[in-house]
Amino acid sequence: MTSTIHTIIHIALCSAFLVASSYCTNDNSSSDVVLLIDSPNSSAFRGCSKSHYYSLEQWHGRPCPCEFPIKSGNFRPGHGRLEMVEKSLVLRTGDPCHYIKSSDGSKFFLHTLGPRLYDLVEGLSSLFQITTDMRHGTHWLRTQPGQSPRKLACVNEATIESKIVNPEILEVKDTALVADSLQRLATKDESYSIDEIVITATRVPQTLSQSPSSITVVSHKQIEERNGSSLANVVSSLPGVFVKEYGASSGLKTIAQRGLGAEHTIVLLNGIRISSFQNGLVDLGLIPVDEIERVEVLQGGHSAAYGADALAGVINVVTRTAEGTERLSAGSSFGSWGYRAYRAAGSFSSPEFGIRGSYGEEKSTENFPFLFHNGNVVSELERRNADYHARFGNIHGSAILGGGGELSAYARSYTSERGVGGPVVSLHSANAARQSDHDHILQLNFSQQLTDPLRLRSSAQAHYSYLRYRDPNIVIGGVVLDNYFKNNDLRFSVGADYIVNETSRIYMGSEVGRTFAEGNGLTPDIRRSEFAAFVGGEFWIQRPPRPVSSLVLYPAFRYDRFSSSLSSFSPYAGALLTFSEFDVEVVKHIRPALRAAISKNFRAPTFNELYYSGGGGRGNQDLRPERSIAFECGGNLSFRMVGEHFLRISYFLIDVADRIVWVPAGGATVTPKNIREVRSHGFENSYSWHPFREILAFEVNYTSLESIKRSPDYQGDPNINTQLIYVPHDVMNLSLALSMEFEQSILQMIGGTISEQFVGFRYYSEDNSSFIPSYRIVNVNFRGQIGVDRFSLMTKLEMNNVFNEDYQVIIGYPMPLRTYRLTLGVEF
Amino acid sequence: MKRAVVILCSFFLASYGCKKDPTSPPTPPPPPVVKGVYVLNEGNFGDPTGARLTLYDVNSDSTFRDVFEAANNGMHLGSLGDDMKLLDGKAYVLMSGSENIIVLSLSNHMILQSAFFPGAVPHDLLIDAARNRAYITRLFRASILVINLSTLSVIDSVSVGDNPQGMAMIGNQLYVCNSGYGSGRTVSVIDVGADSVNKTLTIGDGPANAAMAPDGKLWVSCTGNAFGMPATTGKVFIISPTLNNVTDSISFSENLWGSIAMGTDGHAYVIGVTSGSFYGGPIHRINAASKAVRLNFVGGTFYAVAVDKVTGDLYLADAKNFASDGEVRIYTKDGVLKKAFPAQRGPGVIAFKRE
Repeated sequence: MTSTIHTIIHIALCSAFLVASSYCTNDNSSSDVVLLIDSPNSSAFRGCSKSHYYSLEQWHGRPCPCEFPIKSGNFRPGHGRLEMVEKSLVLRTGDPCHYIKSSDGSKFFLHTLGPRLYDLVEGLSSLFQITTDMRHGTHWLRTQPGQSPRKLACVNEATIESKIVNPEILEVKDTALVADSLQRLATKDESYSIDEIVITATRVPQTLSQSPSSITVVSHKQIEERNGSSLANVVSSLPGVFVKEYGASSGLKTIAQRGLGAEHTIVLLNGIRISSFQNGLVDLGLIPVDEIERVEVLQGGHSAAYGADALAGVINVVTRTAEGTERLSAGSSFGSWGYRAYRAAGSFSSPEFGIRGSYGEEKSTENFPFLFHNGNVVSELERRNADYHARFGNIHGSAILGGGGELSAYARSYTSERGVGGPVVSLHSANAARQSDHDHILQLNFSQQLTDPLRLRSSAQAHYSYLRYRDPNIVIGGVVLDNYFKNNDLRFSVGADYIVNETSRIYMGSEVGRTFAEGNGLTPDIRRSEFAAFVGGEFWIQRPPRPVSSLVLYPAFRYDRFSSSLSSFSPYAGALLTFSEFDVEVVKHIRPALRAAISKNFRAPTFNELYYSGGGGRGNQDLRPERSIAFECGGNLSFRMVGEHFLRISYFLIDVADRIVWVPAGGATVTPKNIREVRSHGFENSYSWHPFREILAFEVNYTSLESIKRSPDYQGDPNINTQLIYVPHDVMNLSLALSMEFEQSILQMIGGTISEQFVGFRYYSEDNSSFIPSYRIVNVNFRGQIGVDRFSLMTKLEMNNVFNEDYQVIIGYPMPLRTYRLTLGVEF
Repeated sequence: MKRAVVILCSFFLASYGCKKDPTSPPTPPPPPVVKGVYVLNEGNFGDPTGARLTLYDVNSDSTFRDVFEAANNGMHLGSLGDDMKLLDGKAYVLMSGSENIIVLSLSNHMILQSAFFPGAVPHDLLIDAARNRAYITRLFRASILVINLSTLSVIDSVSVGDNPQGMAMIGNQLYVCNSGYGSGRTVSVIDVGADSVNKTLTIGDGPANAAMAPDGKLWVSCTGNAFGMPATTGKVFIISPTLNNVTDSISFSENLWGSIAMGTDGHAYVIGVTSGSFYGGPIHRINAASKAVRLNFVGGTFYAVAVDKVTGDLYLADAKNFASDGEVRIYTKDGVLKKAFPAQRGPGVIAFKRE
């Protein structure tokens, strides 16, 4: 009955959305592009003439050094002077840029993340006439008569190229498509736009409002506004995501997107796969937030872009880079149960080169109290053997090469040693297992603009991982359980992005990979090669019928071939329909869009599933890949009414066949088999409201889903059409974040965040007769920053589980009651 | 404006329409005191409250679930109930997951005593009433504990082979099957007077359980080693307790599950392994005199076997792969199904209350 009510409400919501869309009016500002190229010397434009548009700049989405080659004046965070001194100048800047002072003394205030183009343009609207090509994010600014040319550019996450084409025209390209806001600013509308960060994980650069699939981006600012210190904390409150935690900070943390397993999400680091072929997952607790610039989470099937294992989604972790002029920062944290963390980072940059390095340590005894229930008897126990100690460091360097080339290198090292507390099943449970993890990555990325529409990309990665798990309490056949696994993964990719014309672009590429695995729990000499070729594109349909303002199609195909004779062809088709913007009374700039995507995806059996031969299990080399069909449809709605609102509704359906399940094989061993069919479907809804620019942000998301086992695991299996274990029907997240910045004040910033997560009950038996109760967790934090000039002191006080909720995510793994953490940092 | 409000309100209504938690079934009332059959249900791994006790009243054909919870105010036995013995109006219930033993009265099922053995992973229990002792195998410690039956305190510890499981006592000799989870091959013979190993017998791969035959010999069921190099199949070995040597053996072409029960009609019963099933297999019957084997004497996927020494009936537990509650089926000595009664998750031990 309840699921019926859900369905009715969602249908009603979608219907209301469609009704709203039908009231769209024709708006020439969106559908009829007005472009003025007024130059007596068209050869000054690279490859551009009166009848051609400039091509969209490919962008990797990283902040750039703050300095640029001007002969006088220095640009520093907080203040600066800018002068136009060159005809062709790449202006870069990064975070934080509080404001920029122009050569005429004007100040242009920026946001914490660095300004978006509209901010600078807003300030310049009195100086320039602005003409915009909304489709390609190209803006022409004509100097107002009587004004001398001047230029400001400070966009944190884009590269801005500026060119003085003649004394009257300044051409500025911005890859973040905020052209609509520019249009409004040109008409002196004082509203502003929600962040339009360009997503890099989608192969074709897209913004959130452009994608046919559901995408969520967590920016660096949003990461700082959250509690916690690992990637698990960053993604746990996102729509469609459920993080399975095996107890506190040291416990394993895996992601479950859209009701599927951790092995159905592929994790990328700067666009390159780091998900293990060994066990198919990434422990989200082993990626500290210190090195994260932003996280892009794609929902749904994306094997057409990334190959194996992207059945439920993709997480792309974009790492931090050099942040501007020389900067040093250090910090330490203290918290409940002996939590200690120390971090230090430094960066240096010039217009052509930037380098950033950081190092950190984190440890805790994790002997937190929890409640153990046995009927009506409740005992307070202390968690044992859950301590951990982690060390991590990374270094990122980037260089601008001549002729539009960029080269970057990234190296990361992570080691940890921790206790594995195990399930608590009695007053005296005492697991003695220990685990060591080592993870080292080296990446190289290169891109080069070969011709105006053609950009070449290439990347290489070497990834070494080592895991050792030892449990002195488990002795089988006289041998203590002591397994180690080593993986060496090398991969190389090359690709190209080609802009065919103003309405279409394609990308294509090829990847090769070689993985070597070794371990005393595996058969010897495991290695696997893989080859993949992929192609995809973005195609704008010319002159769509009104009131549609744009119809874009996103086809993609990928072929994967593994040396184990596994091969797969993965197609993807997406469509995005946007309607013309309209106003209704006080609600302005209502912009609806509809989207849909369908794809075929696959998961390659892991090395454990194929080759395991340790205690208690045996691999199965006859396994087939899992296959899925994923479908998604939904709508986006953005509008302005006392701030910016963004609403997104999605329905998804994923059918998985040949799902691999470990089953008993006699003799107290288990072995994997392709035996299961699963259907996962549901709704993801998210809503955000930014009433006062970036001072206040309210976000809520709600996911309701069913993940159903549709086939028998054995003859006579009575459990068909039952919900998979540990998949909640409902997850809801709410957060309210306040962040106020002050200029020319010792107090630079104060802020705070309160968030709540509700997770519905989860079954832990296959016949759905046993369940773990639902829970609500409330977290808060308070942040403050003081400083003078370039020197800043910051503090952050976090409180998790404010109301002392007694809960478990996985049966037998208690979660901590209320915890505290204080962080102090210095930056200069 | 109104349209936008309607949309937002609809969203929030949907958000708070979350599924309510299911209602847990109420604790049943305590069962009457009956002669009957107790079934110890193992429960799933990692579930702190998974072990459950079921009571079947033979006369009224009634089944009572959660017998322990009903009598002890909702308290649970613990995790992974692996063995149970009845003696003198008491039940001794052993949990390998929560590493404890609980003694309860069979007159009202209330808890009398309990003791924990942390780090022991106790798996099998044998009671020596004459010496007021109990013996518990420590699954991952290659040893057994000697327990004072009255106080449940540990008297001694004796080292045996890897992963000891089933035990049997004949006279003053305690036989411990060292399974090694298939890789073990020995049976330790312990002098209970001295609490020391007298002899170690080498038999076949995976000795798992033992039972004394009416002729006084010891029958040991070996699982075989499906993943050995080479792989081996199941066997039953017959040992003379007088000379402590192997006098005979019966080979099978498949692995065995490890359980063995002696019938009242000169037959022994072992459980095979069914291809495609997860827990257990069909019942094979062995003629104790001729050693002739009747494969698939009772077809199915059985996890445990027990014989009612009074009626000779076979009680066969089907664990339903631990994916749902199990069932116990009662067969005559000739393999004819008499009736069945429901059990709970993973019925693994069947014990008969006579008085």
